[in-house]
Amino acid sequence: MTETIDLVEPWIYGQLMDDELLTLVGGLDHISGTLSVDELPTPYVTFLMQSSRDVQGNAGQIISTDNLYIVKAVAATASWDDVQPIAVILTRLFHWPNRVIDVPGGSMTSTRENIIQYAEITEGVQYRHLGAVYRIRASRDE
Amino acid sequence: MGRVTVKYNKLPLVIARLPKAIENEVDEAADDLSAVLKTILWVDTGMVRRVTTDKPQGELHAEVWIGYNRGHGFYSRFQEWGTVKQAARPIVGPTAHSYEPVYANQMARAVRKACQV
Repeated sequence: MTETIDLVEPWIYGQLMDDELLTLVGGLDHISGTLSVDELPTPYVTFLMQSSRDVQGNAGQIISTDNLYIVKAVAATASWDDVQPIAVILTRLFHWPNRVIDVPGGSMTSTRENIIQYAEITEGVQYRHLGAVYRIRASRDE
Repeated sequence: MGRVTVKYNKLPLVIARLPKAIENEVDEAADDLSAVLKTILWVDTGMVRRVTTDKPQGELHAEVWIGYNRGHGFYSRFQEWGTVKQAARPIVGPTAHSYEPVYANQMARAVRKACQV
């Protein structure tokens, strides 16, 4: 079993189906994981795995996986005010302190590790990226 | 109920040695990360190839900076987290993430060193 594909990413994608989030960004075609073939209409939300590490026992058994995922909102705007409401929802969806999340095939924890915030100018258009790195630990059922 | 007689109390000495031992390990961790990053940073992007460390004396804290003039990693963010036109190519985060177990061992070593009085 690959915990990131079987447990983590389905859960992330499911969380991003949140009604309030979809209303705010403009629908399902504003959500993407890792790579998008087509240029996404802004604002959009994207997620990607930044890093993953096995947590192993002394005999090499995989106890869990420790994963860092980036989930961020991107908007064509010169103001953080336009992207901030989306980021607030992302925190609500992915920051689960002191809780175990049961998912089909296993369990997870997810907490916000640090904020990601930066601006870029591409082809004369300003974009704002706002979101966070989340530490998602996933264990599969025995 | 047994009786314990303390003949030598070295706890104050351990406490006194602990900050220096931890500081040394923190500085070593910054040097290690810097050395690793220098070899694997985005070689096609000269703007972000420079790595500098800041290890203030007397503080249990060190910083590793990516990019020229300690530019707070301005350009490296585009590589690490992506832009609207380019997918992310994370290097710094995964390097730090993979270093976490090593760092935990370094901190344990610092405590052991401080206890060797």
